[in-house]
Amino acid sequence: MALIEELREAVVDGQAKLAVAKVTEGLGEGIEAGTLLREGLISAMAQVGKLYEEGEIFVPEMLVAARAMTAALGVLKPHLVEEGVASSGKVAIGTTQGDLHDIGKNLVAMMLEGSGYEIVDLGVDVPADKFIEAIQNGANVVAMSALLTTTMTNMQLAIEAIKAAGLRDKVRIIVGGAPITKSYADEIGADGYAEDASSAVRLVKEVLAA
Amino acid sequence: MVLRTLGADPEVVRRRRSPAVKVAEQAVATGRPLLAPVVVTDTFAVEELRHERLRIGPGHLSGPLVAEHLHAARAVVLAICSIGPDLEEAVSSLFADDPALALGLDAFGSAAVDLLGQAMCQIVDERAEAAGEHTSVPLSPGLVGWPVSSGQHQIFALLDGALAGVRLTEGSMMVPKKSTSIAIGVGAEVAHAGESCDYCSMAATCRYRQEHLSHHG
Repeated sequence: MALIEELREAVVDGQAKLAVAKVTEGLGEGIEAGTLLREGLISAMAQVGKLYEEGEIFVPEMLVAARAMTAALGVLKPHLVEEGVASSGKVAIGTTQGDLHDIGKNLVAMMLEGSGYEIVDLGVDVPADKFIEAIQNGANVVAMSALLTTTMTNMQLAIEAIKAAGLRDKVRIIVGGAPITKSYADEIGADGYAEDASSAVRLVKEVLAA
Repeated sequence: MVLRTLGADPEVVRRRRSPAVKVAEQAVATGRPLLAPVVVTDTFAVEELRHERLRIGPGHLSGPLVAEHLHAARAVVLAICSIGPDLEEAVSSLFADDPALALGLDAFGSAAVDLLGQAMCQIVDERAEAAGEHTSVPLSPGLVGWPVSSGQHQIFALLDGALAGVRLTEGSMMVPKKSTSIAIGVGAEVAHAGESCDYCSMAATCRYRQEHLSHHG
């Protein structure tokens, strides 16, 4: 379908206005919103993630692509609700308690949203009980971020609190941030570690499939 | 500068006429008027070093890193540098509407505070050189051997961060985030061993290490 391909290209190239125009045109032609989402936007963001991981594009380019995707998704959202299109999963995301950094967390949230996940953004300096509340409200993934060596330890406290609340088997927990490593994620009992926004999308897909 | 701070190769991005170039240019134009650079600094004579604890003025700095680099110092220059809160407030409010510009602006802020810190260090270097002395590698709390939790409080006990509009959170994080704190040893016998990046606790995971860019926010 030429229009879907053009939509994909518009998102990959970061052309927000063109992406919005293509979504509008597609809806006008009677293409289902779910199809435009899956085959257009999600597929485009998957390609963007792949290009980033292969070193073909850089973070700023990934961002302009995400911006184009967000603009097109804005047009699509009411139609997705009408069609009853379900999200791929519900991700509660936040920066760990004591940490006020939000850029990385926002970037991950944006990439996940563009990949079809429902995002519950808990913000920064998030105490464990907020993550627990989000799980009780249906989040099946918790994504925690920390940028400081002094605050990364609060990830472990949050995981322990989730365990103590009897919710650990109801949620997948992933972690990331500049000082975090795979071994640290393993050590604190997280289900996965992502080193950047693109791999976070892949990781969420993997942990939900596991 | 913005593109490089975001880990991109500016030449490559420009060559393919990426929209990211426009975003970077917009970030610089938006960010410049939001910069309010300020540095609070003072020089303290070294009184004594004992058990990795360097007594300077009415306070002290302590830890293996401090002992390693500042043991031969005659004096220690401390500085708190910040670009103020306006830029990061703009980043927060922009994120929902234009995340690309918000991230570009954040990168501009990181680069700006990094340059401010470098300019401060350069002044200390030039003054030391004029006096026939040497300077140590600039040290910041959070480097390996100088924990943030103790180091920041040691610096803020000696310098009034409020004069720079900077405060510490309970987790020893500086607010505004685009701030940096530095200690530099000065003396005839001081050696400048390596670069700050060599002692960074994030050296294993930092993507920007080769660019010699430090990250403070």
